Amino acid sequence: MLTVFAQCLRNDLKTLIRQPAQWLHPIAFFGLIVCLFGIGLGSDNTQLIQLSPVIIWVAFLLTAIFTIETLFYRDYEEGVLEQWMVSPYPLWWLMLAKSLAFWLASCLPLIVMMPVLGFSLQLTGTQCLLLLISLLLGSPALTFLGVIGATLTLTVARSGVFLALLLLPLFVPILILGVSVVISLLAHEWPVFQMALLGGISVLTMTFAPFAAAAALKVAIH
Amino acid sequence: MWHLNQLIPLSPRRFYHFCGLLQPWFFVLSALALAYGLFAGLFLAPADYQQGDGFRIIYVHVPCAMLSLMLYVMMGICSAIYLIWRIKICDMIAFCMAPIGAWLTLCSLLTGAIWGKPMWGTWWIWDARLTSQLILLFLYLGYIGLYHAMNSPSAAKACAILAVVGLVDIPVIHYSVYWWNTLHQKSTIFKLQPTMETSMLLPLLSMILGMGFYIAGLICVNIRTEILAREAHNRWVGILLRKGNAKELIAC
Repeated sequence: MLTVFAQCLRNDLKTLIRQPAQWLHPIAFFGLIVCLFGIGLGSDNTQLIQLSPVIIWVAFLLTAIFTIETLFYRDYEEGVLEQWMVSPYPLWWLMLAKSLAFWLASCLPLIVMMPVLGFSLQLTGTQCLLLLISLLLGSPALTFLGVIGATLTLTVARSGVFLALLLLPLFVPILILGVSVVISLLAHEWPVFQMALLGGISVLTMTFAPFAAAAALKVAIH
Repeated sequence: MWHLNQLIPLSPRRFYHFCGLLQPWFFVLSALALAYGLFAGLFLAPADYQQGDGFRIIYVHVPCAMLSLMLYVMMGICSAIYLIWRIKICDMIAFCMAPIGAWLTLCSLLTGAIWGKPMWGTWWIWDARLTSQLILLFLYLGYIGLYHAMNSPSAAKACAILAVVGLVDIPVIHYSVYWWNTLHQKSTIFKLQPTMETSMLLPLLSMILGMGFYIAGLICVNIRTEILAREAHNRWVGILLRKGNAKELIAC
């Protein structure tokens, strides 16, 4: 089981990294949104500090929604998913590996480059660090919920906006908690509670989402 | 030993007749409760000492808001039953509930906005209850949209999965959204000692009951049409329709 997981992960990572579009596009998209907000809000720094955690989180959510849309297309067209269905290993296990690979290839680079954008939006070192941790804690939940959405809309043509409608309500708690981490820091409180909740939501989705995604995949393939 | 099958007829055909049996009762009960609730709410109940006569919109607003959330929970439970036991009728129930629930959510948002303008001085504010209600509307729209976007055999299961995910997510959304200090007044009904005057409370409870029965009757109508549409290839539907036609001809 573990070797299957590791191999699946390695395989997915290789294919994701060999298609630069898969990990370059999100970075460019993320950077562009943040830059546009920076330009639009202009030189008023006090306003910017209040808004920057919101801007970064919203940009992150949008990037997550628009990158996850194409996650399964290639596998679906090439018949990889059918092979998964007939393989003797449980489907949710493979889905877990796939989601993890996606998170490593598409979300982790964004989180790593976040401090650069954070500094450009006038955040200080501690605030940047905390925002980074909140993204680290919250992004697995985004990825796993996104995978459910992507498998549900797999057979729907032009699913982009539709996927956004499905995922938006599910993403709201994570957005609120993530933003409130930095907001409460700005109010000189230590946001342990929010962090714990974010981590809890991530663990919860990680536990249940692969099953839901596997069930949705079965529906889509049949 | 009793079986669920004996308690509620679960085959589409028997459920069709079962709903037909219940439907008039629901409408009669709802008409009675609504008549009392509307009359007492609009004329008998005293005006609020702070909000004046403006408070009377709660007799529409509160039932809509409560029932919209309740319908989503029931939809999620029906979907879970459909996924676990493969009972076809549960999927149809969930499907029929979705548009009604979406309308209720919209109504509660609109009446809330109309109320909010004179009371709070604003049509809309990103307050906890309003936001969670808006998110509920999105959940409904996502469900309805997905159902219509996919082709029917796989749509049922996919939507059931979505509804169950939404059901699990509702408490999370609720509590995360409740974090902000809320401007909305606290719920006045479900406390050990209600803070509302009895003469105001009774019409409200009656309105909630009446709306609930009305919705139940509406679901019965919807589900009967849905059963006929989905089972159109079956023989009993053909016989039933021909009988109906004959009756209409006689009436003519």
